Amino acid sequence: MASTKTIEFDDIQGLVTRGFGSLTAASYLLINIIDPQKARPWLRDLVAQVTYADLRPDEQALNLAVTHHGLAQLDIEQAILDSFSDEFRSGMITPHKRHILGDEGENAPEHWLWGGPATPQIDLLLLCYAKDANTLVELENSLSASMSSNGLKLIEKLDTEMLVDNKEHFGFRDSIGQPYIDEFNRQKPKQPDPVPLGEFLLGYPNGYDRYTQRPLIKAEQDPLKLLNECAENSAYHDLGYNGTYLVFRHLFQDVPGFWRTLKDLAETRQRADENDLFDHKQEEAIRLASKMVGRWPSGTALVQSPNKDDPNAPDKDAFTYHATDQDGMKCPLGAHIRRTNPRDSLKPEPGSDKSMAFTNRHRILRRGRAYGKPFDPSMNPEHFLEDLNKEPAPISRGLHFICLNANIGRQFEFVQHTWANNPNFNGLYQDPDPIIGSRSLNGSQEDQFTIQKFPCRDQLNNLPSFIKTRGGAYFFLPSRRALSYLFA
Amino acid sequence: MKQLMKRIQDLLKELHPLPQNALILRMPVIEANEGELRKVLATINQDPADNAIFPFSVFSNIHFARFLLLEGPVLDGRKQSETYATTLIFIANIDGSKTDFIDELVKHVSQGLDQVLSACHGYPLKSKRTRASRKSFISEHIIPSQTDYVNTIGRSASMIRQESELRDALKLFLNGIKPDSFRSATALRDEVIKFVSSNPEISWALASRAQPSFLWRSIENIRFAGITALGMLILLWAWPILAVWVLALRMRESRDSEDTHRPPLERLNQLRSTEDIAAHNPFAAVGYVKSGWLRHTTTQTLLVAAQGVLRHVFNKGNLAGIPVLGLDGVDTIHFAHWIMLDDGQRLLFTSNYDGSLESYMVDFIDKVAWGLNLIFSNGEGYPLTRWIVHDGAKKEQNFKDYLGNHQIENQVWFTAYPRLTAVNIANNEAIHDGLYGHMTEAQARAWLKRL
Repeated sequence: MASTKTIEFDDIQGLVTRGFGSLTAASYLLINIIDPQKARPWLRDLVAQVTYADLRPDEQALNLAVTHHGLAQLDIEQAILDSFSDEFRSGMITPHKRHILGDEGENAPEHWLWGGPATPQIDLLLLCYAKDANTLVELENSLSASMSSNGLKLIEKLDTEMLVDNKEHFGFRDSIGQPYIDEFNRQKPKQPDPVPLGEFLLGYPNGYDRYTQRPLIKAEQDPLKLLNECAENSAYHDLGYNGTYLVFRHLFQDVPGFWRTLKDLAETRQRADENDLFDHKQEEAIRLASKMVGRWPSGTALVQSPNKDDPNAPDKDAFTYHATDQDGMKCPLGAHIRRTNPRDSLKPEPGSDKSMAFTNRHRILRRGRAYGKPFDPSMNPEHFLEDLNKEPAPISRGLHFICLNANIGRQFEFVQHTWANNPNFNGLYQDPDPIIGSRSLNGSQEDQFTIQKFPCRDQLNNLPSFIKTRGGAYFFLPSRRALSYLFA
Repeated sequence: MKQLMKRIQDLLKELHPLPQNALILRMPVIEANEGELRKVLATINQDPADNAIFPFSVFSNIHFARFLLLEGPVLDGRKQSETYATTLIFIANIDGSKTDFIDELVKHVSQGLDQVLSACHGYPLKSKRTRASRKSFISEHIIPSQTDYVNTIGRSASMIRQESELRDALKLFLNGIKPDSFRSATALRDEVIKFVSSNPEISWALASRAQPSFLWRSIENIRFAGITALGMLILLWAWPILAVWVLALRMRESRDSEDTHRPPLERLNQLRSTEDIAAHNPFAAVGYVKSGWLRHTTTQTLLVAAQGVLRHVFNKGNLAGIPVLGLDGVDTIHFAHWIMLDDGQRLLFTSNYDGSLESYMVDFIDKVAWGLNLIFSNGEGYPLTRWIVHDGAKKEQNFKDYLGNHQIENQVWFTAYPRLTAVNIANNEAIHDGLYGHMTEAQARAWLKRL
């Protein structure tokens, strides 16, 4: 396997190795290419402005991704367009993708703000990051000012919001269980069970110790030798090398709706138990919500602290399921984090390296950010619950979910479909992911959540949906070399 | 001689029938009728259970059923015994015998049979359509499968549905009580049993399940012992031949060629558009067997051997799992068939599996690649293997592309229990089994976890 020394970080876009967390202001520009002739020189200039992984910027950063339609718009040869992955070529809104991703009914692309059939075509995505709001505005302006004269049209600017304590809008700490990639770890001691680099970057061995399907072009189509040779066959040059696919999902979160449901559930439970005089509605609502997530609001995993939140857990990612919680008594079998990253809990041979390796072939690198004002600036669910009716109309807030993966079908789509949306996940019957899972499937309601306990499970029924898809697309995040080649 | 052997085989099968069987038909389609047939099948597929033409839900003993249109074989210099154009394949996984099921078919859906099968050569003319003539047409078009996989031998479709109702009733019961007030698992279990016995709709569950007779099991065991002994004898006596055989295959496989082209995206999207409409999916793929005597004989022999192993070893929900050898099984397949077509020139594989195609392929690659390689490496274009079991399906992208090139669409697919996975079904069975007999506190705890 390639060692750190041979990896050319200055060829890889920065987002692959970091989320630019210190650059607290960020926005995403969705762009349509109107005139490819005019756009090319502008885009070529941009290649030099893009932030690559060799630098740790403290002022601002810029990354650039492109859709399949965008590549076609740039008049890239058909054979090259066809050499990309099936998922990237098909896009996110084919009938089958809608079905497996849960984008039906209210979530259907027809209602999307962007990326749907009724909205303008998205060709490019500019990811802008800056140390503060002013710097971000300057960066945005410098980009958008010259767009229209260069054959480009800004379709949408998506703003983001950094919430207190790295929380997402429901009030839980986010971004904890990221896949560990040895090659990106330059100082800290090595961790166990690294995910192979090829799962997140094309052109490196993946979880099967093979190369993931990627765009290869005949050597003669690259006379200037802008690209690297393909590692397997020198007759080809590797357009995918050091690049990856970027999945973007614009997800609205109904924060008051989420906590109202949990408050109601907590109340019903309390009424059912008349002997219980102690008023712990709030506590119970937060406990049930944590059961759904698999973590407490502080981010501490239920497996680490099953009975109450323990904000001081030193490493909130240091746990497995099988040895300590095989039956889900601590963290329910269908909880959000147990399905989106089952660690060592699934077959084959739960608790073994095999099980971990299996999970590691279905991981994603999350790089998204929240958007919209928080329901309460404290981001503390206890404060949320104090007055759930303070907003007269629903406020636009949620998550700009962004993830990176080399194989969209085996990674992002698999996690969303086979793990999150699948009501039969892990031996369950009608339990989708309680946070992000689709509530109806093939015409039947699938809206249970089961909490394993002694002597017998507890079950929440008729869970409404707390999330709505508002946009999305599959992008390619090329390497520096690939950008130069594509815009040449 | 061949006929006599077949008669004896049929007679033996009648004397010692398997509880589940598959009716597999292959019928040549009249070219001029194919368009109309496709329309009829599409209409049926809009609601396979309750459509007006061929409502599968009238048969309580069907697990899965499908119609698929199979093209070819392509001539291409291959040996040809009969000329086929498109043929219509019908596969039904049923409880009970094929003959009884054919009786039921002509009795309950005779008009549907007429609408579909009249598109095929040799179907009785309108004036001559009787139960008997329809029956004989169907019987004449039965084709054998070489190997069948049944998730759990003896588990009937009606039992699956009943046990699912039982679980639903227990679910509602538990949602309505306060389990926390029970001091022990056994006390709660007693309460559950009390509820079942007081509820006439599910009190049947207190009786233990019908088991195959002692005689049937004994014959099965004797059969297994016989096959094992035969296998051992072959290994002991013919190992030099087997060794030479393996070497010959090893030499051949290094010279074989593999498919390297990606399946067209339109084809894949067309296939995907009919998938993921239930907890499980139907799979069908067809391909040519590599030419030559060696490959043909290998395929036939392995299929026979696989049949013995699947029937006697992997018959309880875990396909190809051998913990001693560190081999992981697959618990997501309900039924599967390996069917040789066109004088052994082609192999049709069909299955009903839980989850998405992506997860099915992942199971193949991660868990049972060796088993797949054994059989499918005899197929043209299959990803190259080493020593028959290595590589092959392990080459993720080549394997996925190979499947994409060989998968075919099912025009009609019916499932009797669309929301249940094989794991759910096994769990429901264990819930049922836990309703009778004594349990310790630990056993009762484990049982309650299933509810």
